[in-house]
Amino acid sequence: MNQSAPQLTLTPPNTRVRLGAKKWLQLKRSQDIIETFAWATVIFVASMFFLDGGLAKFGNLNDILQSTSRLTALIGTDLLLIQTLLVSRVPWLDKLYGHDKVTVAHKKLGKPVLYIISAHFLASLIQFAIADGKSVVAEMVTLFVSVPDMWSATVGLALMIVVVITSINAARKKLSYEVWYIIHLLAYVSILVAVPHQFSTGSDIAGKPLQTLFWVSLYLFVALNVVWYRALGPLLLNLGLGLRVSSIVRESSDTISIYLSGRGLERLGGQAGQFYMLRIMNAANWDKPHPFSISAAPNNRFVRFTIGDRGDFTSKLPDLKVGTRVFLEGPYGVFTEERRTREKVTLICAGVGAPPIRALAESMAARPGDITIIYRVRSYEDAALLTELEHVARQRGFRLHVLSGKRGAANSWLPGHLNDLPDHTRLLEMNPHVSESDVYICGPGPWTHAVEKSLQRVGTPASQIHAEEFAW
Amino acid sequence: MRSATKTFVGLAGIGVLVATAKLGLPTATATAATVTSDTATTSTTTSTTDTTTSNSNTGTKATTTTKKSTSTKKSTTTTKKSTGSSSSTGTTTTPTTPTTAGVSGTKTGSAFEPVFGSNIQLSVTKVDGKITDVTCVVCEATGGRRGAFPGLIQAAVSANGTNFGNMGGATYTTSAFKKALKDAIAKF
Repeated sequence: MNQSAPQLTLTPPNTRVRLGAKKWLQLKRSQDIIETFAWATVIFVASMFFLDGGLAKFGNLNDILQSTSRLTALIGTDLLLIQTLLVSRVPWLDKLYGHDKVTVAHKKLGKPVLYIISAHFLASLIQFAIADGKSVVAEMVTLFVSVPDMWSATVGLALMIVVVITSINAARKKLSYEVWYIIHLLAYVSILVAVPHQFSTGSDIAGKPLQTLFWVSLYLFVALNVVWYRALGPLLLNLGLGLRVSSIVRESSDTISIYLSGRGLERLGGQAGQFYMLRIMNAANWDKPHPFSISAAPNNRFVRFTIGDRGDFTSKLPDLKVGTRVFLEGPYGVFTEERRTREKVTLICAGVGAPPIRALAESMAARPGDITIIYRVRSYEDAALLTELEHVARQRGFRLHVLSGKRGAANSWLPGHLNDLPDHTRLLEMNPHVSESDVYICGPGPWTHAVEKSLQRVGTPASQIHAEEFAW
Repeated sequence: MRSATKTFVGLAGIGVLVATAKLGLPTATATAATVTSDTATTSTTTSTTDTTTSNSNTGTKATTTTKKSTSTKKSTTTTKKSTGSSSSTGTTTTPTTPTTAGVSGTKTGSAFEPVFGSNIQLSVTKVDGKITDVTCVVCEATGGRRGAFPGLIQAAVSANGTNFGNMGGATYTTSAFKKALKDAIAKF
């Protein structure tokens, strides 16, 4: 443990941020365009199938199975590619929705995609079996042996099933992150082995120029985004930055700060409130990325993460050697000034939610009195970064409320000794302007929801509430 | 998505789907040849629809169409027979007009071991480098998949090669057909 922290010099506030309600409209418009485009691909593949006379063939059982097989294959594959894109961490999606929302969408889409593709498998298998007058098992053997790429496509489906089953909440809890992650990588393999049969034996691509163009470009687009933003881009950036641990500082009874130094840190390009996937490049940890928010505004001297002891990985961090190589992937998240539309801001955090709030407080430009910081802690010993928040508040003329103490009522986000008045009354007491301010909340999920409820009670519009949960 | 956009995209999407579905209905021919257990009906239906489509502009009546399709079918059968007899000698080349620049002639591919009832040997006729006719030397398939052959032949002619989609319901007949076709084309 190295106790010498770089002296606290505040980075000047970011005065280039634009404010105003127009920002919200622009964001919504961009989101609409992206979503419309996604739906358009689904409509395109379905309408091309209809143009090809797909609907004409719903006469008998054989036709119904055959058409179902084609249509589910087209829609399933299209959604599967969108699904892959959602997890490629492309900046243009992250900037519009935030990493957490994109991940939620990816999780939601997982099961339906598998169902649709399984329907394709079953419909074609049963249809073949009926047409041949064979048992389903015998037909499967025939297909494996005599039709090109059919066995690899089936292997792809089997892998897909494994990936989805291991991601169901119940199974996910029993597996370690590492095991789950390795299995989840099989999803890429499953797509790769299933692609050929679409082109070699499918009815809807070969000999149809428009469809061929569509599918080839869709595959290429997704593949390039995944390869660049998930692998190649971060790798090249990190090789150039050469980040190393420069010092480790204890912040509170269970919190430490890790300082990283490297070449040309401005190339990281993050904003206050964002987070990175942190990879400690030693034998034990290089393959286990963990998400952490930066706890100081981006600057060209250091990158700092303030990390609470929350489990296996974080408990070993204080023993990290100075000079250890670190890889960062990111920046991710929309818990930033990009979302700010008002001059007044309320920053609310609890416990280990403090780091991004601390960084935001440092980088936000505001007149004295326009920013209110509310910091909820169990005790003053646990309050990481408190002296720094006090320092920022003093320097910039922001108000700081520290709420220390044990939990009171179950649905309250305030300490027990403040439960004599309703939460939202206390909130108005701390900041009378809360309904006309942008509110940034960072804390555990249920606590965040309690804060959001109080905000709704005092009339803060949803468009002004920005929350980031720890869960990811 | 905002609700206004959602409504717009939803309605536009439904509109496109309905429009394409309607447009798709009458043109359900070439690639859409269905394979059923009743081979004869299928092929007749297919050719009838074909003729209807091609003649729809001139407004030919249904009775004429049926007659035409029957005659077409007869002629196809004759061609098949004649090619079948000549193929016994192996590869045959029919001399064609010498004025054309591209390759012309008829070549017969080699016979393959039957795979799961798909026993196919084809003879390809090219005029000026373009495939004008594909005929069956042997065309055997199980489970009524023989019905796929007219469609496959048509697809091969219009794609001028093997670059055409799978015949729905006859996936491995299609792949066996493509293999035989490739072999015959390679003989040129």
